[in-house]
Formats: sequence, structure tokens, C-alpha cells
Amino acid sequence: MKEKSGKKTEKNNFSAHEYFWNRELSWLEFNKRVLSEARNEQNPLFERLKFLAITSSNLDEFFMVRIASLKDMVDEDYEKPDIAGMTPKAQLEALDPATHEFVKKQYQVYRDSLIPALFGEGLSVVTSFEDVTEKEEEYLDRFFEENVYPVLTPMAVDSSRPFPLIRNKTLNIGAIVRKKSEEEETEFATVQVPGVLPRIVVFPSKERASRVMLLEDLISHYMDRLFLNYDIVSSSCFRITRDADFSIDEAEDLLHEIEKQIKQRQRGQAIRLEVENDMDGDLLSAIRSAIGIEDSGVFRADGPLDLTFLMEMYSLKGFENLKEHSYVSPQSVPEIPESADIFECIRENDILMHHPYETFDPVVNFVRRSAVDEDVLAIKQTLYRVSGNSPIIAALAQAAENGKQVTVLVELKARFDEQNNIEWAKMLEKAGCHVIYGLVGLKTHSKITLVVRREEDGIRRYVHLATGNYNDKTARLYTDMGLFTCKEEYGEDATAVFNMLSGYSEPRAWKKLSVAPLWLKDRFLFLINRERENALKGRSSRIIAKMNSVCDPDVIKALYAASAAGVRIDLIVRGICCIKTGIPGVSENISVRSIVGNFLEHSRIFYFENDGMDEYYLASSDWMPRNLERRVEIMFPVEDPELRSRIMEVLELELQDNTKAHILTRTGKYVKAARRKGQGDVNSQLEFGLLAKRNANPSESGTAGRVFIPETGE
Amino acid sequence: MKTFAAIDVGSYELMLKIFEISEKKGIREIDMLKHSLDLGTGTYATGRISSEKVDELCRILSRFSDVMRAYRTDSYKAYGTSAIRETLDSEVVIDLIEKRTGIKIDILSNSEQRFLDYKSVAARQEDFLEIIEKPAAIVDVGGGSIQISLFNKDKLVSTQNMRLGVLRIRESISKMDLKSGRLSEAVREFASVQLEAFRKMYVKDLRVETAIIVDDYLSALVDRKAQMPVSDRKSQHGGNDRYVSKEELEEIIKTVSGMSPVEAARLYGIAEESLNITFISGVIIKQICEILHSGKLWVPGVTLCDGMAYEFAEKNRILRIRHDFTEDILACARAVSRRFMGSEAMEDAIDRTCVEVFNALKKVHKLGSRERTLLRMAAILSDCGNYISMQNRSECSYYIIMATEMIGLSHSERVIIANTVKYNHMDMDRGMEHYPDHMDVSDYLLMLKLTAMLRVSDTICRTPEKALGVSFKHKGEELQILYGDDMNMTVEKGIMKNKTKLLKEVLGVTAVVRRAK
Repeated sequence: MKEKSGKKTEKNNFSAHEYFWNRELSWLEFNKRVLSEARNEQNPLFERLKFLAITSSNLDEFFMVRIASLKDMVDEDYEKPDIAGMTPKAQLEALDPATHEFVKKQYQVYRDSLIPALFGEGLSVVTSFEDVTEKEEEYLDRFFEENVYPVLTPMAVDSSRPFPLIRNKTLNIGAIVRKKSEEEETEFATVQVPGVLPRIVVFPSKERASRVMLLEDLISHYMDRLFLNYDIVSSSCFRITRDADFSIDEAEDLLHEIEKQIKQRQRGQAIRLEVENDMDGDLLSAIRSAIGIEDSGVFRADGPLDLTFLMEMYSLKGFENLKEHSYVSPQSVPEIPESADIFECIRENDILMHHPYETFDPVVNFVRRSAVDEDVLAIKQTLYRVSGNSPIIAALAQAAENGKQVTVLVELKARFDEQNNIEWAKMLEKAGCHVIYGLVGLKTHSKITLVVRREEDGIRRYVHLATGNYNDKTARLYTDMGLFTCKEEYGEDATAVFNMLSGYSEPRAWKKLSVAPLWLKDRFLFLINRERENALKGRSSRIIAKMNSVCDPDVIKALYAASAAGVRIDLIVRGICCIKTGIPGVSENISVRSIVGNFLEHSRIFYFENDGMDEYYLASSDWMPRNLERRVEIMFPVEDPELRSRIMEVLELELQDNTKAHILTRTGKYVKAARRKGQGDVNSQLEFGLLAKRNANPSESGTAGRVFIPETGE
Repeated sequence: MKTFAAIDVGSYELMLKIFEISEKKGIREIDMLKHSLDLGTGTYATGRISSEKVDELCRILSRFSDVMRAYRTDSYKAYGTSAIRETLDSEVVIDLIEKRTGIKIDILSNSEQRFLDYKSVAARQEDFLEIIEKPAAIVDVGGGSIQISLFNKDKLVSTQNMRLGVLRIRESISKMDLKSGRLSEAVREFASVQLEAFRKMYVKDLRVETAIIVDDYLSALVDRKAQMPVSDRKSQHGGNDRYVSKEELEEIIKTVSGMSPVEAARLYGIAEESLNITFISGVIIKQICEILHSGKLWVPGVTLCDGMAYEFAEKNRILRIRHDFTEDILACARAVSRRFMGSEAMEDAIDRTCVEVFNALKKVHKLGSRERTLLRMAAILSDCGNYISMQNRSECSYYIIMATEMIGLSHSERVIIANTVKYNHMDMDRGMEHYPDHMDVSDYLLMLKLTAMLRVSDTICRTPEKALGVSFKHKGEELQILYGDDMNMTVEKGIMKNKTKLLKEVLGVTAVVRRAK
């Protein structure tokens, strides 16, 4: 039944389409916020390069997964509208101009802001040999012959040679060529810009790089050397993005099946074709007809394709002055002094860590120490995305070799990390670990480690629970929270989690943890509804929730109901948010803000006032159907009063952020948070770093404990 | 501090529990693994476990064994219940499993199994003791059978086993061509004959206040309820969430029956495949509660493994046990005797006399308290066959004992008691080929010793009132049976020699009737 918007009735079940934003368009809004950071002149220049690169890789994934799946739906005549009432076809129709517009803006930033700014800092991106000196040309020539030419595989297409497979996301140079002997007939030829070489060719210089050229421009220049018997009529870069989404519901051998699918990903249906602005019409139609892509799938770039090369540029040596240094590096965790016995520290008290402001080392050391500790009987861990050369993997392998019972759940289905994870899984198995390849039909997204230790007074279980992955590299870039505890009930639940993941029946009851896909959603709905009931009864109520995405219809409806009952709801949502704020009688009490800053906001924090009996939770899950229904996720309460007040500090400061925060407006657009009168700059990420530093070195800062005073206008 | 592993090879589920047991902290469960494996359905139908099921069983037990090793468990116990028990050639299966997994499965007789379940309930001392002050029942629902034990005024008064286990019911019903919605009726019809008999024979006009439910399915639902946030519960029992009212039970059955498997899994955490059994469980429990006139259920959520840990703690004297289980076993024997019109005075006299003879001869028989209990049971039941035929009382007693469920006894113990009673009055053929009921040598020797002592006691108790004045003394190679001054002992003296030959033979002691000084 369709409700009229804004209708204030008891029966309103808050499901009217006009109460929701479409999730894809909302995602695009998020990418725009990232792009705005690339445009933001307050940011150091090289950080802006990075932000632009991120928008580019984000967009790649968006096409490979989201747009691809919408296209699939349209192909299968699936017409069910989403919560915002848009059919897949309508969504594609809306996304088509929006994505084109977005790409246009990306290149505007690149061309009009970044390139001139780089030039201003003494770094030129040379695009044509006309601007190359003789000496430089000599160098480039030799560089091409020695380093590039040997790894190139030029391919021509004619009646005997079919159109070659253009791999997903690779950069290629297409050309129209004509045999030197023949006058009329032209052929299509292509060569892949090799991914094994750096995209940026740096001209020789004494100090830091001052002139660079992109690899594809170099190769284009020497195209005639690749097709010796041909004349090059025209040549230009192109790039294909393919449908890379796959789902595996059932497989005899999961490992084998995923390996097969990964290979398949290279050949998925072409979703997007990126070409240079000036590509010759014949060349374009040759490519288009070969891969079968419609007009809307063609994106013309006013600059180099695949802007992720800017990440490479960020790594060029000698530009430290153009990078961000105001953020404090990860600080030590005060509760875990360097030489201390980590088990003893955990026994003393639950320990909350806020990464990357605080270092991830204790987590790595926790596993390392367990691997060699005589009294440790077993280590169990879930791994979703791990870093290359992960010290955690090494420690787990060592633990198994030391005769400990090591159980590792390696989620093979972690998107785009599948290959990586298959390798780890095999390696761990070889070392003697019991490796579980995830559960059929569910991704295991929870982040939990359990160490079982035999101590004087019996078995004690040490548990680490977190909002982010066991990845020491991303732990320096993502904001996450983790909790160490050895409280009995957490240990019992953790044991049960691993038994469940190992294929045993669920326990009869969970004591502390809420686990998706079975219980978590109901739990969230219950918690939200309880606030609503409190508000109706005139008791105090409030919800503050921070996460990456909100698009679960049931949760949103519950939030609307709570808001309508008078519950004040503040959401800090980095990415997708389908909630519409400010609808009279529906969502007037809901605010949504998004922080896009130096670090990727990744922690999931939930606060419920509950009539003065506050409850605090951390979780691995967002409010998305995939988290709540198709993944194994864990939400855990934080109960220690001191840790709870720290969490509240974090939430409050993020709500005060007026530097990196954007506010969702009624129109669905996000605008920079307004500064209140008399209020100074508040950059929450910056503040958290300083806070961590003060806490790590209380004597230096002169402040005792974890106290800080945010600047406020009141 | 001991680490103990308990494995329950059940009819539809394998369970491993790891416990830490210490005097200070009591029994602490530290891990629990549960794996669904339906051994029962096949066994009940064909008497065999398929080789695929055996493979699966071995696979899981090997994994259990890894877990036990990881916890460095000090000892373990693995019990097989009805599915293994009812497997023809179970020894072969057990041997194969031991070879492949290193885990030795012992078969639990039904009465041992029920006794362990009972112990696991009694382990929740406070609640339990309070509940059995008023008429109560333990309803122990298994895959193969259901055991109902009745309590009145603190005492176990009877315990009865009925082949109405949920798997068995499902198996039987599955053969019927049921219209949808008729499942509940079919279950009730299927169970009604046996339950009606039980009502007439045992319940009579007893009105049970609380039915204590030991099972897996209803327990799981109650766990789930207990886990719900307090404000979301409609607790009617002052905060104790392990109680369910009759109305709540009905509500649960109604909800479960009207639910899709997916919904049930989401709301109650019931695995889709066990939805059906949960329903059957609910229906049969409700039916039993009606027969017992019971308006309230207590679902402590205990398992066989808990009982095993309790037993381990008891045997190894790690825990101080407050409840006297021996009394329960004896109470059960008395109830059986009473049912067959045994005389209370006679029971008491012979029971008391046996204990005195047993204690007097401790040095020579070197038996322990468990054997004393067996002797006492034999004594209490020694004349139950009279009810059927006074001519063939020995054999009739034997058959009654063999056919009657007595909680807490293993099969071999029951065989020992039955034969002790049988040969109290009958001569036996000797020699290995005549060992009754294929008992092994040690059981045979025990049975002979118990029989010898029972014969002495039985002779003395011909007149129960007189027996009260008799005392016993072991001196040298004599068991002196001492009568008071005013007591006539002519008859006893006359037959004693003949009745105590066996005593001389097996314990090397001659019974002599004397006048006490």
C-alpha cells in the first residue's frame, strides 16, 4: 500500500518510495564528496592526487559490480523497483547522465586544477614528443627499446585472427592500420599497455622528478615499430570495464570454483568503454562493434584514461612537502606498554583501541605472542582481507607448527581479494592450520580472534573483536575500533562463533554477541524500537550511529518510526545513505553527516540512550541488507564505563566536525557542515590523532588521562 | 582441576562438551560442539547403521578427538544411546569406530541414560529440591523413547520408559498418508494407547505441579526466550525464564506449526530440518502434561553430557554431592515391589538384614557401596514374583526384574540382580557353560556372592519381626548369627546349614546360629 508522503498517521509504515534515496545515486554522491577533496585547495597537492585516484578506482568497481548487476537485471526483464521506487531500467537511465557528468568533473579537476598546480610545483606531465628535448628523446628511445618493447604483444585483427580478449580494466592502445603493400584495406590492431611496468616514465633528473610522461604516450609514439609492415592510420587509448560480479551459492569444491570464476572475470560482459576524447570514429566503431557496447557505455576522457596512475604519482620521491603531515602517526596503546605481557594487560581490564590513531601492533603481537606462548592451546581467527606479507598469517602458521590448534576462516569470497585469499588459505593449510573457506551462501565478514589459554585457575579465553579487518596495512589508513577482553561471556560466545563457522550447530543462546545473518537484524530493530517506545512514554531516547552505509529498508523504516515518535537520531554515514532527512512527520529528527577525510572512515559504532541505561555497541556490519542477511557479522557491546565514555567522545567529536564533514540536505545533496558562530575548525581525525598522542605520552602533554576539550561555540 | 570431555552419540545428534571440574569452581562447561546426525531413523527401522553414517560418525568423532587434544583433556567418556544400543552387532560398529578414531564408545542402557539425565537435572540443586517437594515429574524426551519419572514428597516413586521418542514417532507417522494439518492429531493418536496405560497404572490421581522437561527442542526454544531482552519478554514466572506455562507451550506449538521453515529459523533459531521434530516434541510434551495434570513446565536445558560430567565429578570425588542418588534407586525398587504387592515390613527387614550381613563380611567379600546397593535391590525385590505365581516365584521374580525399568541401573547390573533373586530359592547349574544370561566371569562371581548373602538374610527374615533382634559378627571363618535370649531359633538353625552352603563356597565363611552373650 502506498502512503502519501508526509502523511502523519498512526498507520504510516514508512515504506513509501518517496521516503528513500536510491542507493546507487547516493553512492555517486559519496564519490562526489571524495572528488570534492581532490578539488579542495586546503588539502596538500599530492593528497588531492590521491583523492582523484580513489574516485577513479571507486568508479571502476561501481561499474564492475553495481552497474553490471543493474544491466543484468534489465537483460533478465527484472522490473521490481527498489525502495526508492526505481526499476533497474530507471536507475540506469538516471545513472547514465550522472556518471558521464561525474567523469567530466573528474577530468576538469585533473586538467584545470591539478595539472596546473603540479606545473606550479615544478612537475610537468609531458604528453607529446613535440615538447621533448633531443636528449630526453634519446633517453626515451632507449628506455622504450630496452624496457618496454620486450614486454609488448601487438595484435592485429583480420579474417584469420579474431578480435583478441581485452582484459578487464587493462589500458590498451587501439589503432587503425593499413598494410604498406595495400592501398585501401585497413585493419584493427591493438596492444596492451603492460601492467608490469610503472605507468609513469620519469625523465632523468638530478633531484626529484620534474618531467614525466605516461607509458601509453610513449608507446603510442613508437607504434610504427610494433607494426612494421603497416602504416598507422590512427591510434588512441581505450579501456574496458567488465562485469566482475559473481556469486557462488553452492559448489563441491569452493576453492576450485572461485579460481575458475576469477579467470572468468577477465571475460565478463563489457559494461563500460573508456576512450580518449579525440579517438577516431572508425577506431571507435571497430572497438564498439567487437565488444558490443551501447552508446551510453562509452565514456570520452578529456585526459589520460584510468586516473589511478595518480596513486603512483603520489609515491614519487621528493614531494614530501606536498603531502599531508599534520596527522599524528599511530600512537602506542597506553594500556599495553611495549614490554608488558599482553595477556596480563587484558586480564586487568577490557582494552579499547581506536585505529589508526592508535597502533595496530598490539593486535599483531597478540597473535604472535599466542603462537609461541606455551600455555596457549588454540588460536581461532576470521580473515577477510589481509595484507600482502601479513605478519598475522605468518604467526598463525607458526602457531600451527608449534602444535597449537589453529582454526582460520579465510573468506574466499571477499570481492577482488579472492586470488589473494586462496593463496593464504593454501599456505596456512600446509602449515597445519584447520582452514575453513567460509560458509556456503554467506560471506564471513566478522572480525574476531579467540585465543584459548590454559592458566592456573583453568581455561581462560582472550578475545579480540573489531570493526575492521586483520590487515596491518589498511589499519594505518582506515579508522576502526577494536576491543580486547577476556570476560567469560565474550569468550563463550566467541567459542560458539567458531564452532558455528566450523559447521557445528549454533549454540542454544548467545550471551553477549549478536550474530548476523540470524539475529543481528532483529537485534537492531529491537534496539531502535525500544528508543521509539521510550520516546512515546516520555522517557529519554537518542540514537547515534556511525557506519559506512545505510540502505536496509527495515532498519530505515524503524528509524523513521522512531524519529516520528520523537527520538533524536544522528547518523554518521560515510558512504551510501538511502535515508531522506527532514520529511515532516517522518524524519525531521534525523540528521545524516558523512566524514570524508585523510583516513577512510570505517568504524561501526552504535549508541542507544535507552532511558538513561545507555548501551554501546561496535560491529563489523553496516545497515545494509547484505550485512544483515547475507553475511556472518558480529555486533558486540562495550560495557566498561570508561571505554563507553571514550566511545561517546568519539561520536560527539565527529558530530562536531566542521572540516571534513558533509551534511545530507533535503534535496539529497551533501553540503559542507556549517561552522557555528564562534566555532573554530574541528577536524575530528586530526583531533583523534592528537588525543592518542596525549594519551600515549601523558607526561609530555601535561594532561592526565583521556580528557580533551572540543572547541565549541557555546 | 580436571579437564573432562563428554561425548554423547545420540539418536539424531552428536555432542561433545568439554568441562573443567574443580572443587572450588564446580563443573564449568568450556566448549560445546553439536553436529546433527540422524543415526536413529535408520537403526530403528532396520537395526543397522549405514556405512555412510558410520563414515560421517567417524569423521566427526575424529574432529572431536582433535578438540579434546587441543584442550589437553585428562579423561573422556563417550556414550552411545538408543541408536547404537539398538544396532544389531553394535560391538562391530563400536570396534570399527575405536580403530578409526581412538574413541571408545560405551553403550548406555536406557536406565543408565535416564539416570544420567536425572543427575544432570538434580545437579541444579536449588531448583530441583524445591520442585520435588510437591508432586513432580521428570519427562525425558529422547529420539527413541520417553522416560517419565514421578516424584512425590521428595521421593522418586516410579519411572517408566515408553517407546515414544520423537524420531520414532516421526518415522512411524511418515508412513501414514497424512493430510496437512493433521500432524498434531496423528501424534496424539499414536501416543495415546501407551500414555493412557501409563496414566492408569502410575499416575492415577496424582496431580503433578511441575513437569521437568529434559529434551533438545523445547529447551532450545526456552534458551532463545531467555536470551531475548528482558523488556521484550512476557515472563509470568517472576523472572525465572526457564519456566513455561501450559498456555505458553500451546502458543509455541501454534506458532511453530503455522510458520515457514525460514521464519522459524529466524525467529526461534530452529534449523529448518528440525522444525518438524520440534513440533512433534511440543505436541507430545503437551499431551504428557495433560495426563499429569501439570500446569507448569520447568525446562532446565540440561543434556546427557552434563550428567556425564556430574558422574565423573562424583566418581572422582571432586565434588561434594548433596543429593543421595542411591536412595532414589532403592526407592524405585521399593515402588516396584509395592506394585507387585510386596510386604513393606518384609522389604524393610530383609533390606536391613542384607546390609548387616554385607557389612559384617566386608573383609572377605571386599565389595563396595555400589555392590551393596545391588544386594539391597535384590533383597527388596526378592519376593516380587509371588504376585504372579507362588509356585514359580523365582522365575517370575526374575522376569519381572528383567522387564521392569529401574532408573540408574546398567543392563549388566539388572541381570545380576535378577539372577541373584532367581537363585535365592533355586539351585543353579554350575560351570561356565551355565553362566546365566551370558554374563562374564566377574559378574558371575559377584552374582554368586550376592546370592550367598541374600540366602542368609532370607533365611533369617522368614519372620520379619524376629529378624529385627538378630545381629551379626564375623569371627575367624565364621559368620555368627546372634539371637537374643528370648528368641526361638530352632527353625533357622535347622535350615541354615543347607541355605548357607554357597556362602562357605564363595566366601569361605560358615554361617552359625548362636545365642548372643
